[in-house]
Amino acid sequence: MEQDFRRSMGWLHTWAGVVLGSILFAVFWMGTLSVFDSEIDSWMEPATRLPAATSPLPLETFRPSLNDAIAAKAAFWNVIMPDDRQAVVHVHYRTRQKFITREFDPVTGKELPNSGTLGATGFIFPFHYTLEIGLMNLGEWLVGLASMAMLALCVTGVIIHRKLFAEFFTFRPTKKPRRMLLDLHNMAGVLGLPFHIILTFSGLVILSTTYFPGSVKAVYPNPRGYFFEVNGLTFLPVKPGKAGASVASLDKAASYVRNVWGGAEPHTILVINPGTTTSRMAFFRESDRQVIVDRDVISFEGPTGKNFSRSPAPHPIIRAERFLSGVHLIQFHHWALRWLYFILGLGSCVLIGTGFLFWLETRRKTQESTFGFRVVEGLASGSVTGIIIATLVFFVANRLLFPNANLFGQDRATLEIGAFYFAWLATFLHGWIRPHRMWIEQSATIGVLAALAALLNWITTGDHPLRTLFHRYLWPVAGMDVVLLVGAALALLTTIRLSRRTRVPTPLNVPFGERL
Amino acid sequence: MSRSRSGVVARVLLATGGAYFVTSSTLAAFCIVLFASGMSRVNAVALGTMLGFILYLCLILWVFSSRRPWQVLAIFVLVIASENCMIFVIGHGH
Amino acid sequence: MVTVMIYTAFGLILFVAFALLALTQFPHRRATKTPQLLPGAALKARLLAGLLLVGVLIMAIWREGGGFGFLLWGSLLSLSACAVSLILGWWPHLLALLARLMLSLNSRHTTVRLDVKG
Repeated sequence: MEQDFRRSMGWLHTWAGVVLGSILFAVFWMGTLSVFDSEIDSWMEPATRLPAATSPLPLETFRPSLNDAIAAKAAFWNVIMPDDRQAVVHVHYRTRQKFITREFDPVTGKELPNSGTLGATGFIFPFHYTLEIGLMNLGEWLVGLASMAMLALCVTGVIIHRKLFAEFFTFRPTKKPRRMLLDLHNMAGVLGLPFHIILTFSGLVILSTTYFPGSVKAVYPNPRGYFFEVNGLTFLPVKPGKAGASVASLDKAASYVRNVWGGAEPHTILVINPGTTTSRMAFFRESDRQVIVDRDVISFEGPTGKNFSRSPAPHPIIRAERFLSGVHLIQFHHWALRWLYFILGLGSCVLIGTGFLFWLETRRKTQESTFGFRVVEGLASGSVTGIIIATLVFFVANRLLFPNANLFGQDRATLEIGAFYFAWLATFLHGWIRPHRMWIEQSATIGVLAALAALLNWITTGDHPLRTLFHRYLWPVAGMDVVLLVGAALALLTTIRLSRRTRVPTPLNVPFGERL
Repeated sequence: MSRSRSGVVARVLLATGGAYFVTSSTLAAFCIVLFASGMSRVNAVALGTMLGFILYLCLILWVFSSRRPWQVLAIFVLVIASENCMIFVIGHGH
Repeated sequence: MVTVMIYTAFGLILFVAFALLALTQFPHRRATKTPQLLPGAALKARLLAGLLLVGVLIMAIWREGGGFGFLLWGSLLSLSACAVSLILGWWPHLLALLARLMLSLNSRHTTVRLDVKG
């Protein structure tokens, strides 16, 4: 009975892993990169590599962009103030046609030229939870399915692990590759288990209303009501008003808000329906010294700047929900934790990658020529090393394309994304065509591309690691370059070791009679 | 567990679709009951969705470990039907 | 700078705690070429390791507050356990000194030298 249970759990572990491993790797890889999204942004947008301002600019500096938003009949307009991860001021608004992002120098208040890239916050982070498949939220549902599979994989993995405690610390690099892969898989899985489970679970909780709309519909007449209530944004839903009204002084409201908070600064300033009689302005307090996403929002009537309202203190259940989202979204500023998240995220990638490799290694002798094996092999190469190559191509394209590049009527940002998908597709094909050399060749490609990206950053911007390390405001760039260079070194080292192993025939493969 | 192709397909469908609908309707019923017994709506939904994923996970594992998937299917159908009846009867107060 | 040192210290203490736990297990004692511990000593080593683990949690929460402290502790836990595994895999002799020190946990009345098996 128990044996039977274990076998069925093993079956589930194997097949859920093989079928959804590609999506899981993509989600975990992009999530790991999103840990440093602002830092990657400043690498990809050299114009934003600016020293931090000593004092915040007056909010009225951004009035011209607010007027633009009003003229474009924007549904909202917001300013995100600089913080210690991000030096520039971001202004966003949504017009009828599109979402507009503008960046401003934090000292002079001058607008920076259009960066021509989506960067990490515009591409890598959304990819993490939507896979960039917008059709009917299909991407989000696939991520949800993969996340549920991840939870099931964690539980079944613990169940089928024969010696969880006896082999808790076991890693035998000298054994056969298959044994070593399993050790590595177990190590990444068991020792990183809290991370895998908590991050997967909190990710699901963040998107819970997408996955279970029924629970909201059961008690809310209008499902959007839950969104506003749980996020403390009950001031947001406003009736459409007449156009032609102005927005009162933002600075006056801000100084009032600072008084209420005892000196704390607003981090985001939002105006809903700007320029209409029912517009509202809202100030979100900075909450980067705590894990919990603490939405302390103060809002006013837009045209008058009066009738103040403040979001209520959340109930413990809501606090628990926001703690979980906070753990996942890492909006707090804690550099040590950020690096730990990054390393643990890479650990999750190792877990998924070694899972794939172990599946292939255990079947290589018996099924190497079967169709199914070849499919999984191509899938594994494209979804493990392939997405890493595609990401690096994205970075290289970012440094190679001219500021106003335009090809086939596509703008620069689209071309970068195109390069990403083109490279990704190529790696799948490569894995399919050259099954015996793919790991060596793809890992060599990773090494070369990563080094190239760091080199191109130096050539195109003059910011080489020796310079960036000695300027505090360039540390994000330095960090990115150092990670690229370390990654390049590791990938090239792996290539050398892999090619050495394939060249020397292992004595075990030689039949006994022929040894002498 | 049975390795026949149809058995596998049936289990996968039961685990993803069936367990999903059981979770979804249980959550709806759970939220309605909590709301009816005095908890505020936002707390009921937040608590329910957090617990929902755990329920879903348990159901998936049950489907794959059970020896008699037809029995599981019958229980799923029963649960979904009774919960939807309950939602229909008391769930229109908002 | 102080913060870096404190986090490193947390990591090192957790590393020692996991090394203590690992070195109560036979394969790892064999890898470090040290004699086995008596059951009583192994229990003591595990208790000490448990104390160190909980101690770091308390210190982390005291220094960083509940949320950050817990997250810091949890993530350092994974990393330091991985470090112990990797070191035992590649350079087990680095932990030989600790493994030998642990022999002093064998209580005096019953000091029996057990030979390394296998």
